[in-house]
Amino acid sequence: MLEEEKKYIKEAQEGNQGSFGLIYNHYVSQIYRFVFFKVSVKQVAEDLTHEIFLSAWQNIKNYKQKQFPISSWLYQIARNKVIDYYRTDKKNISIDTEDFQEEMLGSEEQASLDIPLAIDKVKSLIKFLKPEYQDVLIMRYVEDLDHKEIANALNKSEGAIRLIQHRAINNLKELYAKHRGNN
Amino acid sequence: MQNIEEIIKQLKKIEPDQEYKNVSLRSILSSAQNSENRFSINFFEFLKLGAALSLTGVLIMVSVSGSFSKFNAKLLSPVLLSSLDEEKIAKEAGQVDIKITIAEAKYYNDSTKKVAIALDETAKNGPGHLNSTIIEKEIKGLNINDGDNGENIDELLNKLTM
Repeated sequence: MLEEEKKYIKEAQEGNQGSFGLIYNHYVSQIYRFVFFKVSVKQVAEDLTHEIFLSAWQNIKNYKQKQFPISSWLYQIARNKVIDYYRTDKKNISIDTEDFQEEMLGSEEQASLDIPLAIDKVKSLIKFLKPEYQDVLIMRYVEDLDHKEIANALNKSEGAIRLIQHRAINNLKELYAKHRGNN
Repeated sequence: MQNIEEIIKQLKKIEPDQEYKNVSLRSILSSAQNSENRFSINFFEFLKLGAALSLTGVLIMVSVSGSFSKFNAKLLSPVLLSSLDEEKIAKEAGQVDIKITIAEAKYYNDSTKKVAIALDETAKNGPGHLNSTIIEKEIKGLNINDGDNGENIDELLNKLTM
């Protein structure tokens, strides 16, 4: 979509609502998932996703097109919105593996999602990883972004992203094994 | 146990509601876009350029007028101020000259008199006038208190000079 995307972005910068609508429909699901894994509450994820695209629409005239898709910019807005959300609500759900406790696993979102148990467990466990581990796992495995795109979105080198991905997977495996052992 | 990477990939099934997407998009598009932030960038760039040109101009003027060293000495090096004050240095130099001149004049005045007397006596008596024994002998020979000798003083003086 990159070539078409450039055209849509240029039109959206000129105020074309239809072009921005196309960008929105193309990226809203992946941005929503990115936020949802971090906040774990459907209502909050919807509100934050709405704020992210509202901010994108209002500030798209200042967006400078690069060789990467506009999703890199949207992820940067999303990360800032999530940080603001936890800062204002004094929440911090990211903990180390050693501090993990099974009773901390939420179940509020389970009722709204019809997905198998293993997937649901992994989804619940991801939020106990460090924020940057979450970012890389979601972007890499859920959204299929390559390392270069992730590196651009997170302002890190590709090498750093590969290292974070390796650690995040190991960390998640430890959590998953521990959780299964407790059941 | 299922591969954890594969499990994560299945999380793609999570999707926002279609109704939510429609409502959200309509709400977003009903709001106004912010204007492009061009003015502030250009304004600050213009301000930076203006400041740079002004500073360059001031530096050139200071350099050309030659007042940079004075400015540097007076404002940047206050420790050096007293030693670099031209007026003070000139005043001090003048005082030294006056003292030297007075001392020299006094010296020359004294030495001139002494030299003149010495030369005069030397011319009259030769080196012998410095011998105290000869002088005493001459004084006795002159017999100053004798009234007769007083009349012949010119003759006696002529004898001494011979």
